[in-house]
Amino acid sequence: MASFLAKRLTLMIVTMLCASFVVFAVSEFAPGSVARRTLGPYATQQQVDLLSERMHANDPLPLRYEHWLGVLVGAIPDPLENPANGLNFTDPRGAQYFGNFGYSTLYKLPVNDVMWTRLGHTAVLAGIAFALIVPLSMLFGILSGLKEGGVLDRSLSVICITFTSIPEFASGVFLVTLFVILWPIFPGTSPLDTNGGGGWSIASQMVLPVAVLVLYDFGYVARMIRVSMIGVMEKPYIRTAILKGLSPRQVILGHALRNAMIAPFTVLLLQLNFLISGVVVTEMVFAYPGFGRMLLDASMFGDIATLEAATLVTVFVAVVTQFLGDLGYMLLNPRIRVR
Amino acid sequence: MSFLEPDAAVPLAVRTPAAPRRAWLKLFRSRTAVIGLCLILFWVVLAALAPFLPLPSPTAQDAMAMVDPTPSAAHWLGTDILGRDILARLIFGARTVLAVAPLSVAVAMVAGIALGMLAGYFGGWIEALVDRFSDLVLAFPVLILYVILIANVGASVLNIVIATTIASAPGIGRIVRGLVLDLKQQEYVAAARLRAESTFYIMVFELLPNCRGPLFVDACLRIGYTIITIGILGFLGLGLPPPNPDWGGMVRETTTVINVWPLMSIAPSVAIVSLVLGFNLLADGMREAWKP
Repeated sequence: MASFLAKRLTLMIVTMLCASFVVFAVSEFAPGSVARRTLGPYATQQQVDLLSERMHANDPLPLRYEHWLGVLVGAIPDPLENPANGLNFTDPRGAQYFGNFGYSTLYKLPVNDVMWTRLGHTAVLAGIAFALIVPLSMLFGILSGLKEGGVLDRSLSVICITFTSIPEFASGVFLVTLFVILWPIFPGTSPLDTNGGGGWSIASQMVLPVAVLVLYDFGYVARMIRVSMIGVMEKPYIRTAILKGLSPRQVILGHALRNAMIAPFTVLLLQLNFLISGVVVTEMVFAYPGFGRMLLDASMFGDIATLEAATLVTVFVAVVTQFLGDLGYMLLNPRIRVR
Repeated sequence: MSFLEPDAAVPLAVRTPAAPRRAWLKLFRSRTAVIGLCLILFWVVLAALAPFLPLPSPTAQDAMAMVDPTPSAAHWLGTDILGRDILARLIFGARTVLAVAPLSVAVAMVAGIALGMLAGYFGGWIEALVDRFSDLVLAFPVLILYVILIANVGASVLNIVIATTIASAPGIGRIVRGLVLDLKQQEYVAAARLRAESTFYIMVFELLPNCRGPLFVDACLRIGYTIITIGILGFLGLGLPPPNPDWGGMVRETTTVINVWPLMSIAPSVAIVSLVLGFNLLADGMREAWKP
């Protein structure tokens, strides 16, 4: 178990290093200089040059990456927060501490002040969606897996396939047309702000974004559960259970369900990962102030500090869900043991 | 080695060319596959015939239509905010999607098959290396990879192909490795080895044709998913640069006026759903029809 944990931890750190370096390298191609974007179009070239020098923006790539890492682990102070810059970029936590993601040039705030709020908003959205996806996909998957190729299976499968074929922006368009224009019972935007949202309550602002996520995702998970359920229903112990006269309810809930959920368990957990990092589109459609939109805005603006922080968070979420998936897999299936 | 010949010849005779023909015939008996195929063919035919159809140019602006962009005799689906014919933009947009999505999946397939073959056939450190690499890529959120890459490098067909290849190759590799681990135990592989065939020959002519079924299904699903991704990139404003009409971009440009003219956003949304649905239904039909 300890070696398993260590292996996963190493994988996580290596992935984080690789991912952050890739992001660093890719943003090299972005047009314009970081200093110019930070200072805006009215700054003089001298000011831009001065800031570039202070930020070490002209250093070679590996050196700058090392700087960024240094700021992150708290080995060196963030050069952007140097009061001599006159930018008034100050972090209440100080310029040098462990976990310093730097200063967002887009939001003009420390990344730590922007990101966690945004992540919180997205977590609420993802959490509600996940809480609906699990029972809905289980219901669809188990019902269609009971009798492969039956009428119920075929119709439920076609429903699931249809919903997975609708991209989030398209279902956003359909839902907005239905429930905002034709039958206005929900707001078309969800800024999570009762004043700016035209007097709509926060709860009503959540309905459509959650619906978009659930509709896009539940069909895929249901298909995975279906395949697993079909496999279990063909097992001899299910036939035994039926032959010894158990009711269908006892057979399904008592014998089939637990075994049928072993394989899809990982798939379900990976949806958490998708929900945290894949909500960009939903957040764009409904102007939801979440993590995905922050990430998109940061990459469009060239806000490298925010982008790097967001990358690390998403990789962290990805690796942790993978790990939890493996762990749950072992708990559900006593035949699998860690080596 | 004459005593080996009949054994080696039997699977070959079964495989070619009667077996594929039968497999495709079986496919046509599946209703989902036929519906899916029809949806795909609908767009393929329209896209192929686009220059010959009596359509306005997808970039021409009709000033008169801008006053009232709803459907009319001249513009069957109406026009967008700039007075451009929506039907023409949909059909010309299909050309882009139907060229880029299969191309990127094909490149990803080649890379993924190579990875999976090497890992599955040789095992050992090659397998471990491919495995670590796959873990690394699979842990990286795909959409974020696309957004970062395209936002910084700019959108082009090449960049979309590269991003798709990096994101999909490990998944395809896993499928191929699983199949090859099983297939390499088969007698015809042993026979080919005894005939002193090269490893490359065994991989390409003995193993690959037998991975065909699952790979066709996977390719179909991936094309559908890539169409969604291209749509998403267009919707986020990271799509192929104008003047290429692009379905996701069409939705993006018109969501601001969805309260007044919802059809402008609905038309491209329906187009993308119908094409993706076509590929997904075809994949499902294949899986059902070719079930061992």
